[in-house]
Amino acid sequence: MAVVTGFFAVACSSPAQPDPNRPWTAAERALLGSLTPIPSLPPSPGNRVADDPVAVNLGQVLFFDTGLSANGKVACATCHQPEKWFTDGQPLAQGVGQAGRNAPTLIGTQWLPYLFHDGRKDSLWAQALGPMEADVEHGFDRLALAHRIAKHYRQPYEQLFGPLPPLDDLTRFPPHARPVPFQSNHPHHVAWLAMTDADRMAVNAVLANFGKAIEAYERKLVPREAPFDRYARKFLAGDPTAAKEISPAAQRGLRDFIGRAQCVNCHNGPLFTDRGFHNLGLPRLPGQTGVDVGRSLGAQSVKADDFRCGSVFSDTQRCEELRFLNPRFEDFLGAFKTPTLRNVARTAPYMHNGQFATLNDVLAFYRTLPAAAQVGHRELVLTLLDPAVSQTDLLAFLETLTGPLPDGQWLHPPQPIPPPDAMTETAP
Amino acid sequence: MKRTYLAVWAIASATACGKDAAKAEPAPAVAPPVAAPVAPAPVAPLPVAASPAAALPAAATASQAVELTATGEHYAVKWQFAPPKVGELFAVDLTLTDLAGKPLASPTLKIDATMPAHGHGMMTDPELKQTGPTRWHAEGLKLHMHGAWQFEARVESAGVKERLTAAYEQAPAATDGL
Repeated sequence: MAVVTGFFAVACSSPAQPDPNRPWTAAERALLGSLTPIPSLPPSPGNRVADDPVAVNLGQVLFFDTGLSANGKVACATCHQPEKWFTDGQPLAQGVGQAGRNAPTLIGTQWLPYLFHDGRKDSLWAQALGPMEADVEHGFDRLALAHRIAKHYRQPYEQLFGPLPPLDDLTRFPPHARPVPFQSNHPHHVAWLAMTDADRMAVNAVLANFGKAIEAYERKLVPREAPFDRYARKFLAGDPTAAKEISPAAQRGLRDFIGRAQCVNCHNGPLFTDRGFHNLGLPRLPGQTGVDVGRSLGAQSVKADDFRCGSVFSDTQRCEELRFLNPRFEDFLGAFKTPTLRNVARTAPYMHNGQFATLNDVLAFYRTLPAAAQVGHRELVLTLLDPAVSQTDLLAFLETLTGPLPDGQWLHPPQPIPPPDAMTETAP
Repeated sequence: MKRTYLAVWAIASATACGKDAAKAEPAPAVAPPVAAPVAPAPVAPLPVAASPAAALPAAATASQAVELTATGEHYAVKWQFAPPKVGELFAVDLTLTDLAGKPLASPTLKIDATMPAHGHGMMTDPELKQTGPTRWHAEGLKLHMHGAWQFEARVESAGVKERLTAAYEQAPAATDGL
């Protein structure tokens, strides 16, 4: 870092505060152009129904279905609430119980090679399976899910994926069963092991197909043009009306964002994320015991996941991301995924554990970088936010990344949701 | 590992002008242990995307192959690849010879790419295979951040080891990179 100082010393001869009206350099313009427009939706080769309207509709119903939970009260939409930009506004997600991490927005996830804060899934459809069986989220199980699909959603399911297994045979397909890691005596696990391999595979396929329908719906939740995009487009085209799109404070904040604040080092590209994982050295929470190793475990998990790209449930065998992923990458320890900053002003609280209530708190953290990392080491390039950078300006800029919510048709169930089915037994 | 620390943020430096250099230098929580030269000391000529400005017209650079060369005391390595986008997998072709341009005897070659200023390498494990007496092909490289990278080749032949490095400046992410 001594080098950087020297470099600045050599390179800089202007006054202490940059002239806000100074011309944009070619480098600044290049960076600005790299942040907009929002790109077209990428394909999802692992999901052959990703863009099938029947799957979109089925996924949309399932997304809002509280019947897919142990207590009949939790749906995907419980933690990903449309009116809150598909977050829940709470530090830690609240499902059947309290999760260990913050519920991130779904808007903009379509471009991410890895899902969850630790990237332990490599597609949106595979991601959707995790919360379903997590004790503190839906607390559900894949047999109960298969039975509910057979009872309420058979027609669209079979239109998309072919015949369901003979779920009416409760001796082969019990009402509740799932693999339960590290709990071999759990009744769901015992019931799961009592099934034949072929029947377990058939149910796994139903679970995977559930995820594929969810993904088809989630692909409709793309970010929409924000004031920043309009400003950048006009500015780069030389349109003098650009300055009317965002405030002077936001314009200053933008230049700091891509300049001396160095936010763009990680929040880059049109989704304002490098889609990578970094250790920020976040402070320990009050009462926190243990540490979250984040990506180092997530990278190992995704390599071994039953529903990963190239698995028997995936619709592609081209899996370069996963093939070359190095789970031993040294800086994965304590690292979490760089979140998108699109709509960030609407997705509080912040960080993987929701420890910062406001963007002000986030920027205050970057100004002080208190304490050392709890595990691993803080990203070396992450240095204190320049005190000369105006917090007001940066916040004004971040506000201009707020676009409209997805189209109204995607913000509610497309049809009435069947009531939760009676639970024939509950997990201990 | 021997580390050198380069001036990474060419763009940041351009816009940081006016900031007092001393103010610009809050101590990082984990400070690099050694000082370093003020400017990068590339082993090889910088590639086409050497500066952010050069990277501006992405279409113009995308078709121009990058060629990096590193010549040591015993061996010479040439890297050839299409300019990658930040965070995207890419492949490289390598040529490894002695200083006379001749094939090596039973060589072993290992490659890596690191960001010296960040103290990390790549998030990926590239796969490398020999395709000819002097030729190798590697897939699965990924430069996940823009800035100063260093391509590294570790060569061994007839008991003689050498590490050859070449500097590469990765341009920022472009919209078409997604």
